[in-house]
Amino acid sequence: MFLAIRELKHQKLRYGLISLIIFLIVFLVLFITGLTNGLASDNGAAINQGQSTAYVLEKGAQNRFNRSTITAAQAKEIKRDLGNGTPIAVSQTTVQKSKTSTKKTDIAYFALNASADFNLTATNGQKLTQQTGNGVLVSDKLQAEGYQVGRSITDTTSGKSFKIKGFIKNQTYAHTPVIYLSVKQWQAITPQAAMNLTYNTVATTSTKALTVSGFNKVPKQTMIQNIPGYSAETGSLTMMIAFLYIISVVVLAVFFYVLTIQKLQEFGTLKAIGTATGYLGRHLIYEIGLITLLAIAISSLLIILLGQVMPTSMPFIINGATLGVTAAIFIVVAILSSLISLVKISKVDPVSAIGGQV
Amino acid sequence: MVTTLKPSLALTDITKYYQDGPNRIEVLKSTSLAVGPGEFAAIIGPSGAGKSTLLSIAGTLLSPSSGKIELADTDVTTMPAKDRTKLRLQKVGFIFQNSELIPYLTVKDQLKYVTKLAKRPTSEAEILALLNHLGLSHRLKNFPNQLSGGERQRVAIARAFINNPDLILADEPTASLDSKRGHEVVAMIAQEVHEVQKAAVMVTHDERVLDLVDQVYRIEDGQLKKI
Ligand SMILES: Nc1ncnc2c1ncn2[C@@H]1O[C@H](COP(=O)(O)OP(=O)(O)OP(=O)(O)O)[C@@H](O)[C@H]1O
Ligand SMILES: [Mg+2]
Repeated sequence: MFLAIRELKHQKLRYGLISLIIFLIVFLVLFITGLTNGLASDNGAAINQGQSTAYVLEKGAQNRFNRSTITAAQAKEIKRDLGNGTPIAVSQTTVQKSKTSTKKTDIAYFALNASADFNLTATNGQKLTQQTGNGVLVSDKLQAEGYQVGRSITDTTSGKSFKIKGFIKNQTYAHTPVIYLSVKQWQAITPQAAMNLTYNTVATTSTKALTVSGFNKVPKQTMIQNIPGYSAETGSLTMMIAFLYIISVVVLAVFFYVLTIQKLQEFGTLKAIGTATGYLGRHLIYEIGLITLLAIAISSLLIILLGQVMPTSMPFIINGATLGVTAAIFIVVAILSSLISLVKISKVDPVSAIGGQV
Repeated sequence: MVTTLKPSLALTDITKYYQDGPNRIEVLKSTSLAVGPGEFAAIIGPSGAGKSTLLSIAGTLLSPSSGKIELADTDVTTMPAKDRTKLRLQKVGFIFQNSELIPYLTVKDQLKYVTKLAKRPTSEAEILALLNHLGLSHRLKNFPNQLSGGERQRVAIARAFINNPDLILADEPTASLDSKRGHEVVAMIAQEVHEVQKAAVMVTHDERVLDLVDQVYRIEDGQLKKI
């Protein structure tokens, strides 16, 4: 540390510049990570939130709600088999503020009868189980579209209206806000559901294996990954992040390698006056580590500030755990990048200090 | 008066050759050297005669092809590299031709660093006293690039002496100085050597400083000869 701190202080510009580059990369990684998390959450939040741990789907539905059909009788059987379950009908359609408004909003209906096994609480304390009459709880994403508590919301197809009783945070499915209906409300706006009630899935908190044939019990995480577009969106972003890590390794490695080459004579002297090779190795790792830590600290701070001011239309989620993981990966990256320089340093011969020869 | 003191440095029958492709260049041919405490020895000789090679061997930076090296009673000939690094730290002080100061350390930190390495409890006052003794007290916070050549070489002397080594090795310490400055610097080494009873070996081209040393050797055909 003695040498590392003094060298960094003495060569502020040189090491400041490399820290700046690493800062930019860390910042970009955190920014993309935040957007990835935001997108992912925006996509599957309604599935991710709540108590349910798994969803039962028809076999062959490829983990997609809209490809699965479960009759009321089958739902009952599944429920009995697992011990608990909430049958849900999912449908994607549009709503508007009133019959006469021209602006439509894409939404997803989640029709279900709430119970202790499947309950959600709105920001104003309203619970799904208290849903009566024509009152509904909806995703807070609709708030950004101008919808308000106490105002009505109109189903475009049927022209029927509901009253918004509360907003629930982070309730989205395939990027659209979710509107929770009771099964009765659902039947009121959907004639074929009134005639022949079928569901798409049964949500459950049960850990038992399903024995009813013709159906699969799918863990929550698998469901999220199979939401249309999810893998494509997060996949490309994840690849960008991976490349940024690789770029950091290369930038740090090349920079410190060039510096090491320039300082061979100095390392020879240090060895000649009695510095152990291990000490010089640690010296290098301290320098890279300090520079990287500085870059991580500044970019984390900026990202946290940025997270506060990002608009809701650009979902951005970053938390302590993500920051911690990113920081840890960058520390590993920094240490990896020091390897080729370490090899070079270990090969410096202290005799090079004598007689001015290199 | 008969001195019973063992030499601080004893080289016995040292041979060193470099393998240059199929050719074997014999630089040192079975030569010996002994320097006792309080003795300041100088080695002169033509370029390429093997002066730096001999000094590197004495400082355990280089292994001889054959022969025996003893530093203050310790046989270091077959010592592993790690132990030699440690020994070098405690028993040997180097003064190099171009000072070879660490560019990002202040004058005071140059000394502090080697005392830290040696894990020797050296007080700040001790460091300041030595620097003061070498006329550097007004330069404590300066970096090497802010010093004159003579000042740099004096810092190098201080760095060589601060850990209280038994042996001082200097390779052309005056090469980058004018003759007046060079004489001053060597006088300082001589003074330190005699005051605190160190053994010192200096390689030099500069015959004008030879009046300051106790013993002069000339190296010719791989052999040291007393003059
Ligand atoms: N690593 C090496 N490989 C091959 N030959 C070497 C090597 N190091 C030194 N030599 C040769 O050994 C001889 C002695 O070198 P040395 O550096 O000891 O000379 P010197 O007396 O210090 O000369 P100078 O006064 O020019 O510094 C030279 O001929 C040199 O070319
Ligand atoms: Mg030489």
